[in-house]
Amino acid sequence: MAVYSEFYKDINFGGALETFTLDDNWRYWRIHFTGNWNDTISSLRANAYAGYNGNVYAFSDGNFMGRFAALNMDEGWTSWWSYVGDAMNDTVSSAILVNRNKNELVIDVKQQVESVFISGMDDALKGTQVSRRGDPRIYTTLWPGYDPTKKFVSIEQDLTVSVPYWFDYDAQVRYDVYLYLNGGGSVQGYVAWVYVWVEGGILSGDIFSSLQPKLVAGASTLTGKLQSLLAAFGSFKFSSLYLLPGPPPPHAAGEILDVKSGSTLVLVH
Amino acid sequence: MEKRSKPKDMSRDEQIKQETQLALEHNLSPHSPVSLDRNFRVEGITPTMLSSSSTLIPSFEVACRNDLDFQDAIPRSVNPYRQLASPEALRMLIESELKSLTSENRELLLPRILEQLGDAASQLPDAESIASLHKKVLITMFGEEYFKNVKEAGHKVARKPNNK
Repeated sequence: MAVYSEFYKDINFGGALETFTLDDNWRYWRIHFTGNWNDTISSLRANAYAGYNGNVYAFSDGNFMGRFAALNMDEGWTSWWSYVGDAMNDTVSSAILVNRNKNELVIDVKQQVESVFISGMDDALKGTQVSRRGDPRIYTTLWPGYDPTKKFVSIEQDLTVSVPYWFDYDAQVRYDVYLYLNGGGSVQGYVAWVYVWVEGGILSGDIFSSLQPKLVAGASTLTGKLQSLLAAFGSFKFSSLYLLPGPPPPHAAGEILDVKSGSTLVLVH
Repeated sequence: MEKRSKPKDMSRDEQIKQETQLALEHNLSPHSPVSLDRNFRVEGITPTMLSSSSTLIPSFEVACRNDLDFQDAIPRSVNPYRQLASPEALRMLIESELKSLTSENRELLLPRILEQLGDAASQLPDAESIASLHKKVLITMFGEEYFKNVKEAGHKVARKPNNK
């Protein structure tokens, strides 16, 4: 085993306890807190050993989304939250334990992708009735219901649709990027899913029918740009690729963040 | 005709009412009834279609190697299919196995003992009732420093190296 974790219903490791151990045959242990364990956790503690570092993430939503309380452990260290704080208290519905190797390349995906996405999106929207509203949110989506075995880097952008002589409509596009290692150990990736929504109103249907195909077509442009970014890793071979929620874990014992605060790509040498 | 701007606090009822009025003025009608639900929106998710000549889509074997790296778990106490020995029997078993630990069998026994500890703890309303056994197992597994500073109050995250 490589990550051992304990979840408690009360603060300061009190009350009922459930333990979980992740052995070194798996990258992730996915935990679903159901029944009388849903929305009841107040403290947690974890340890990494047997040649691995480790992370534990406890999520407020049942599908590894929402906010998370993370623990970061180098091998041989114990980290804990004696209290997950008022905002996270009694909200945890799912968790993951993660085995971390010693020889990894850890990449902040948002830093690598954000500016390329923004410039590409602005170019594509120039001269149209659609404009970006704010910067994109780039985050890790783990095993979503529509593709339950896969993990994605999601790039989510709010949009404004300006309709002549009418109210503006809010809209949003999300591109789910699938990253993987090919047979030779090189990093590959492409946009696998496109999700679009348009605010509800009398013109929603028309706007959606007009907007969605164009945003879906934009996936191939984004895939092309990703290929250019991934070419930087072209000469390197890796043995494993995986994703973590949030930005790269700091050296600190843990942090509490929103899942949509970032995405981390980990490549194992 | 001037552009309409929507106040941020406009309710959906009011928005639909004003849009309906605009639609009547311009002889427009929605193709289907519009919901008044606050969260109503039109949405869709689409898998992207790569060309048949694309080499980006991984083969089944490559996808499995990349994707099937997880296992699932739920708390023992809510798993109706898991049969556990009684906490008292588990306590005696753990004590016995801890006594028989040697440097040769440690790596084999300790994971099993941790599992038995979890089985026992999941059946008890409060971890306090097996606190001394809990402490004994974790110190055996991870070293003396494991329980230092566990009584920090309030909202604190911390870490400690074991065996130091």
